[in-house]
Amino acid sequence: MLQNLTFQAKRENLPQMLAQIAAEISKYVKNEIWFNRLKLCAEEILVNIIDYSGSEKLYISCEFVESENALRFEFADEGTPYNPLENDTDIDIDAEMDARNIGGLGIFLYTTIMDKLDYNYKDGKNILTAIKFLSEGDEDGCAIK
Amino acid sequence: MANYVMEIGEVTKVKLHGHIDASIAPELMNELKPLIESKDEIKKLVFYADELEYIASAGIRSVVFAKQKLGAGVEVFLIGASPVILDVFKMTGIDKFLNIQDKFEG
Repeated sequence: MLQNLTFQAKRENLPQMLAQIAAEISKYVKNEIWFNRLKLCAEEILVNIIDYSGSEKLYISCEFVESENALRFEFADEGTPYNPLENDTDIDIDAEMDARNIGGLGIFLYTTIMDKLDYNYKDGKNILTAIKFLSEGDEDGCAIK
Repeated sequence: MANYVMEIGEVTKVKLHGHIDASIAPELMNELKPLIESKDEIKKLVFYADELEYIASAGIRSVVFAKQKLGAGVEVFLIGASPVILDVFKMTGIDKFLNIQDKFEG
């Protein structure tokens, strides 16, 4: 369990943040594609916070919720109140290359991969919660463990 | 010294390697930009990914940028990518614009 790991909100600290998150994910997620997807989601959320929140610090929590058989991530910052989920998170992945917008890929990825996302502003903090339900191995691409 | 670009010419070769997260991706973009601005001689752009362990959207954006700037006349290849790396390209739909091969066959 990671509880309120605190970092300076800087891109140069990303590798350190991701190493700790990856170590936690790897305890529960054995499928390497899903391991990578969840690490990717964490990065995309963190980069949004670093680039746009204006917060000096950010806080990371990650826990396995046994009752729901789920991994629950929480990302918090003390920046300007901002709900990233209010953005248009969809991109047309079938669009022609020239029509592809170079931005928006990160939020598209984490809203696509995660099962549940929730935003709250509480006690001066933006708090984004992301949940992925874990499943036993199967062939349809959603195997996690 | 270039960290990613290996060879510039009609077939221009770029070696993607390690972890290309958002803290690293600007370095890749900085190497690609001048290359692509002097694009006249490039006929094929080959991204080798056999030693690429991780790529985030910031890295994917560099590939999209290259493909968009070079235009339809230049073929862009992704070579030797692992299933984990290919998964990220597929999720973003970028795989459709790349010639994906295990080994570069031209």
